[in-house]
Amino acid sequence: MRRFCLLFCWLLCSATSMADEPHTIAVITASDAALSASKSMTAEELNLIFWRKKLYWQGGVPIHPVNLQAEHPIRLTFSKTVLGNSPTEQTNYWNGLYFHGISPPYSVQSEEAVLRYVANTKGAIGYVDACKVDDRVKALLWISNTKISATAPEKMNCVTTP
Amino acid sequence: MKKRFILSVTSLLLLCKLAVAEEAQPPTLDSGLSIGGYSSLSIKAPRDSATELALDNLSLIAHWEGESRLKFFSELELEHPFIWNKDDHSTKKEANFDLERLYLDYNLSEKLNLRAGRFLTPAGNWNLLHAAPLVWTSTRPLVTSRLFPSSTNGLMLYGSVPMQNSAFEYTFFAETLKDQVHDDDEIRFRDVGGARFTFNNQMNLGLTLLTLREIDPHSPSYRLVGLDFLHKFNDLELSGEAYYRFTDSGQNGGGGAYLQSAYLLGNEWYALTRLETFQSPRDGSAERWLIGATKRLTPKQLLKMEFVGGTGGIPDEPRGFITSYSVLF
Repeated sequence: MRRFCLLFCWLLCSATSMADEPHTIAVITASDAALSASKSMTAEELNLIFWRKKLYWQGGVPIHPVNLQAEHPIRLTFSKTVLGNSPTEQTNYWNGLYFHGISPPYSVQSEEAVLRYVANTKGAIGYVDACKVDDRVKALLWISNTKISATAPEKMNCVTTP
Repeated sequence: MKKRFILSVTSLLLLCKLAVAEEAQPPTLDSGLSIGGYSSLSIKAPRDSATELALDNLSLIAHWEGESRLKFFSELELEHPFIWNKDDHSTKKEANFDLERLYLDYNLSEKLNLRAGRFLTPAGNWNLLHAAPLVWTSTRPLVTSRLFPSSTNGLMLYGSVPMQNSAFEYTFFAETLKDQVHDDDEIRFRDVGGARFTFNNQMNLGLTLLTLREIDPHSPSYRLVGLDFLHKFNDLELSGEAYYRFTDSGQNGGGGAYLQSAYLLGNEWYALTRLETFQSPRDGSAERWLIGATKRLTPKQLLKMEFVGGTGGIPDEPRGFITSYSVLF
């Protein structure tokens, strides 16, 4: 029985370490969003949106980007890949934009919160682990190994959590 | 044994579920109105006049954005509400309200926006981010405050265009209404117009092109060309601006430059150095050097200490020791 317990713990640890590996990140908007222009989004446009340089979708709908909290590993990967630096290095920038009446993206605690925010807020855009994308949202771009692509990678490296 | 195993597995699963339990509710959009501001308290010990303790400013920023293409922004500043002079132990109240900014923004298209009202003149980095909690030093480089107006009343067209790994930002503007209220020590300008282009790559390069006159009826019409940059190399931030102003007939109308470094020493302390040169027909010429240290107390609070030296006497820009505390709220 003890051997079985050890084996079970090892399997759990392995699953956890696999979960820590960098996953593909999906950039998402609401699945029923009337943001037809967003279908052809580029990495440069995504950069402008999350720097709050681009504030409106085509058609005049305000863009509401949403971030994961600053320490979240997916936020760190997204920030480094899309914006080129970490959230802590952006303090001066966001203070400067605040001075001009532009707030940084909303920040939420979990990927489920991102999914709900994006699904329920007109003009919202966010990002989650690509394995967590569901019917409520649609993926526009995928970020994998520091590359941003408009096509989904063949291998997602998804882990089913118990 | 079986019970202990089930207990262990349950504990592990509970740990796994902790992250889910921490979920935050998605934020709801409020009425769209936000109110904030900034303030700065300083002690100035100029080398040729008395030490002063002053509440330099108290600015109130209000902005509104709804779900439409329209946005509103305003900044009202209470300047010098309190000054205490060490030599004669007197307190002065030179307080005056200054409407720094008041404008409406309208989104015309994905890459084009219209701004109407009173806005900061789009010239260089410093003028656009001049609030005390946003700049490393208590003193402002001479060249950023004496060659063009800090604010303009008029119309502006602006936008951002994505480019390869960066963004190109453009601004065109023109004055449509002259300043109605002035500080006594303020250089007054008229017929202000121009453009600013920034290329937000690693160097954050900016180009400013202006035409303007000083309010003096004998003032010639000036053209101004400015270049600015801001670059970060790991713990070092380098920034600078350079301007050259000339008349229609090509005569020198003033100019200057500054180069500033901010180096992260650790524990949010930054070592600062700055070199400046400045010259204008009105003020003559001056050179400045600055050495100082700034502590970022929190992301929105700065404590600054600096010593300014150099040559040339410019009103309101004394040399000596200055320390200040500033907060963005």
